[in-house]
Amino acid sequence: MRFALSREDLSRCVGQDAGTGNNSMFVTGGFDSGRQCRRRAQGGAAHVGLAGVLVAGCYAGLGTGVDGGDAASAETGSEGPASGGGESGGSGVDVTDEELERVMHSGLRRLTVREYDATVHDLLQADEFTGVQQLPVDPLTPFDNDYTEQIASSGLIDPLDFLAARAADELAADPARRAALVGCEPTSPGDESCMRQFIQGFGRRALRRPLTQEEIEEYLHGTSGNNGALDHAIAADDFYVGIDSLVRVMLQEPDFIYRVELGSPVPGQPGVFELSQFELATRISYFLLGTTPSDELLDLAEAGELRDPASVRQVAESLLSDPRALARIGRFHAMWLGYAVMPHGGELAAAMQEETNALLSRVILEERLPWYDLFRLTETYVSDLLAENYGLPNSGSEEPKWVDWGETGRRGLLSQGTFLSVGGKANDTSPVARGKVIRERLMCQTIPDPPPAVDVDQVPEEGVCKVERYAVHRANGCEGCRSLMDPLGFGLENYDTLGRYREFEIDNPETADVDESTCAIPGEGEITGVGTFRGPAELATFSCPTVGSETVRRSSSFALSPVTRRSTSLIVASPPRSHRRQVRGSSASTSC
Amino acid sequence: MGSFRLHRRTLLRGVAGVALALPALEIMMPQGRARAAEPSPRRFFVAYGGISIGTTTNLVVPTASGADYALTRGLLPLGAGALPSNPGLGGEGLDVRDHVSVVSGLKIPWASGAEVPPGGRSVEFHGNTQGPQLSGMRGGSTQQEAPNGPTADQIAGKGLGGDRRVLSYRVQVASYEGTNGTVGDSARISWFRDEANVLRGIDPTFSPEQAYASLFDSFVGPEPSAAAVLLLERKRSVVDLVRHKAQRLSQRLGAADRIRLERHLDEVRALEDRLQTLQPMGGDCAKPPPVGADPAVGGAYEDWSSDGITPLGGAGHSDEDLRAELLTDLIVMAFACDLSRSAALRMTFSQCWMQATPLIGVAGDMHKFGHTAGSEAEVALADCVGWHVKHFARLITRLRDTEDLDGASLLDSTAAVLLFEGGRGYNPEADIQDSAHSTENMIALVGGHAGGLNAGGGQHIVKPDWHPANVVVSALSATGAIPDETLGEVSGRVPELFG
Repeated sequence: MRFALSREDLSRCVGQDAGTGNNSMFVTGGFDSGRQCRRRAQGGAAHVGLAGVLVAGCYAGLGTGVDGGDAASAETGSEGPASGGGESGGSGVDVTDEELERVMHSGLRRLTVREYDATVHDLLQADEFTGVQQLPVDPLTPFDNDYTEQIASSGLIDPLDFLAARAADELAADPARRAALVGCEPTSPGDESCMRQFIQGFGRRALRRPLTQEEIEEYLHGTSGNNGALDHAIAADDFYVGIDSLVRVMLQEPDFIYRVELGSPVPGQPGVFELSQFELATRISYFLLGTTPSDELLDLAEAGELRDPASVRQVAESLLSDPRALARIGRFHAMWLGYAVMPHGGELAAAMQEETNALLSRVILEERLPWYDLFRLTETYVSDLLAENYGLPNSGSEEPKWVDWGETGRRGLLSQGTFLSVGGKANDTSPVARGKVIRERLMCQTIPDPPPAVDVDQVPEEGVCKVERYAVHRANGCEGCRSLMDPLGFGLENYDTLGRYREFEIDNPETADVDESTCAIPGEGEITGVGTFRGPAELATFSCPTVGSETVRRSSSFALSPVTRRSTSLIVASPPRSHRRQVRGSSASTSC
Repeated sequence: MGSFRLHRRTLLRGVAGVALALPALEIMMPQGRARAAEPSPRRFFVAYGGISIGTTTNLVVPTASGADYALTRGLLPLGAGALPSNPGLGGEGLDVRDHVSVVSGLKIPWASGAEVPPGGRSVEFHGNTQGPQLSGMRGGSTQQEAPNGPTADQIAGKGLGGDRRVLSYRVQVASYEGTNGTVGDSARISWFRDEANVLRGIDPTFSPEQAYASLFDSFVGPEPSAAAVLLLERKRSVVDLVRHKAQRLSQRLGAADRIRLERHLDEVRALEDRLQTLQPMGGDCAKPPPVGADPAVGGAYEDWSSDGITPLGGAGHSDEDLRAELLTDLIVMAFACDLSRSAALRMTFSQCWMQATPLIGVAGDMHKFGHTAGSEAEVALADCVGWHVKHFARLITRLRDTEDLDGASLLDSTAAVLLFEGGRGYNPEADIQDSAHSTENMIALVGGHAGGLNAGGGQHIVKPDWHPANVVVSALSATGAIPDETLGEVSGRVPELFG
């Protein structure tokens, strides 16, 4: 077997020995300091590695350099809220050249629909609240939090206004919840002390930082020409009208809607900023849990206890025990690998998602196995429904159980129905689409879009076997691209879009009829220049090395910066040189 | 603690100096029926359906031209007769032939190599025909749903209403694979140029409840209650503080983030301005009853049953019939109350994968029917066209039956257009004929009577190889929103529409 990237290359990429299976690739990836990376790499547990992207105390402002920004814009002392932890006005951090090269960009990132829902839920204890019908769709590129795609329009502002009003109305209709949230008993409609207490407490949670005195006064008494919450309460002779106004305001403020990372300038490094403690707490919470930081986490930030990697690791460990962490990890993998929206649903799809999440939980959270084991674990978590789908023996239980894949040719995530649903077309598999997903999502490569004259929407020609059809397509001037994708996809052809094993092609994709008298599936795949394989288990042995570096890239993208079709210039600051060569070489040689 | 203040613009607007001495109700009084004596403003509406009109057999384009053409299956909702007995099209047509013309034979030219002709599209089909139709500008040489110029609704909004909002709604909820596969641009159908001359897309809402709130929550009639006045005033204070804090934050950001937040801030200002706008009253303008909670979202289109083949009953269906009715009703009342003078409605996504089963009674999605051989699929595709036509016709009836500010029919001052993603004919991607991936033989429907439109009643007009944007130009020109009969790179209006 020969890897596309050498182990030495990979070691440079992830800062650890991938060959040993020590799976701390999450930790590094060019956004952590070298010293921190190395320390974390010795830890060896996949789940802790997720915290690595959070430790980066620095970012490069997009408003600097070629973007024409202004470093002074991040001076945080004189006006506006404190940036947290009482550390406005400059950083004392000493950044080495090596670390500087790894500093990533950070931009104003709007809460996704999911994050918005979770945040409002946590802030207001509103169980059923959701903005999914009102807020703009979050494009998956592949992640849903790509700030370069988040352009505000009336389609955002109107829903924010509407949803803030709805949240306030629902709170007003639930006096017990409201009283718990306010935390004090007003003695009169104009009880300024109680309202001030609410503003300070709720405001810190909503805006994820302490409020300045100026802000508190504005909330209470309004700005020039406008009334504040206290005025509203008195005018209506109802203290809670003021509370209602405050909830409406805070849920529409940019500090709430966006994750604001101002930081403090790093001396001697124009355009580089150190995050405040509150900004770091926010980053940690949204990355690991997908929601606003808890009071406890904000307390740690306020006490300045997130300054060193060990503290962040400790916090991350704690948060990873929260059930929401598994949901977040599941969501990250689903968006990355493309099965966040599956081409089928119902009980079977739900069982597949449960199966994959069980795998993620076991490898990353429970047994803390090498992260590569996601792709090579010999057991899977299935109910009888799913076992039957895969051709595994029934366990006699409707409840899922861990069972051995046995001699099925399957191992790990690539064998599961979630992943095998990706890249389907016309109710059947598409080897080229699967190959493209594997190349781009797992192997860090970019495959150009097909030329304009290629009709990718054509229904497959009937009566011609897929291998022959694809050979014709490759002969029509697309050999370069297709040779990278087709052979990869053909190695999974024995597995349909539901993850079922098959030996013959579907004759009629509209009905999924299988006529065994026609096209037998060879089932052999190839990674050009590397070797051949059959099925997902053997594919996993090939793709593992590049999966490591791609995981680093994707996790940092998810946490910090977009890596999208439209913004590849914002890619992780320092992918390994050998890897960059590989990507460029692939693109150049595959241009159709 | 200061005394309660009425909003400064409230004071400026009419009763400055004595505001605090007057009852709040009087302060907040809309400008009222004084507007009724003025000529009614013109309105523009454009809808878009992301399907083609056929494959091998024509079931949509009438064979005869003129006023007395026989309705085809796809156009049956325009007439008064019985409709096919399927769930989506109902029992009877809506009898709007006098108000709607059908223009056929239209064509969007396509690229030769990398060269895209004026008003043309790339050879790739899906997603690339919307931009040229809505903006008149040629698309990119490869996949690009976003147009290269402002869209007609925005041009109309600027030309007709100045500060009035341009409504941007969509009916179809579930997209394909989250972002509509590779062809979508977040369902946007409306783009404008901002102050920096950058094209900005609007995210259309598919929530009738939110659309209602946005239009009418701050709507006060001639005799508002004290509570309504206080609520409106409070809402203004809230938005004002949001704007104030956004401005302050903006000053502390780097250049790139500041640009993004300024865009956010512009929209907050627009919201704030809308809260200052007093509604003219007249005609049938009235605050409609609340639309109620949004219809349930039926899950993704992909939400099939466990065999992966059979669509579940509600999969991908989010009661698009009800949504279409509610959203078009809101558009009509927004026009009637002069809250808006221009609206864009995405009925379906480009490469529309909308679950068709509950809408037309045939299992499948709307996209599939364009790629399935056989007469059953062709009929189903025509019924999908008919579903779009039905809701367009329904809008026309609502406009017809609504009294404008000047007492005339609202339809008399409106120009409305319905466009489709494709026609039927040659497919340059695959070099085949009789394909749904074609921009030959396209149609556009034009309704209303603004500016002499459809003065002689509705008709079928054949304009071989004219651009669909010529029809849009005709509607825009009829409203007076454009002075030179040009939209992007497409010029000239269809003269027969005014004959």
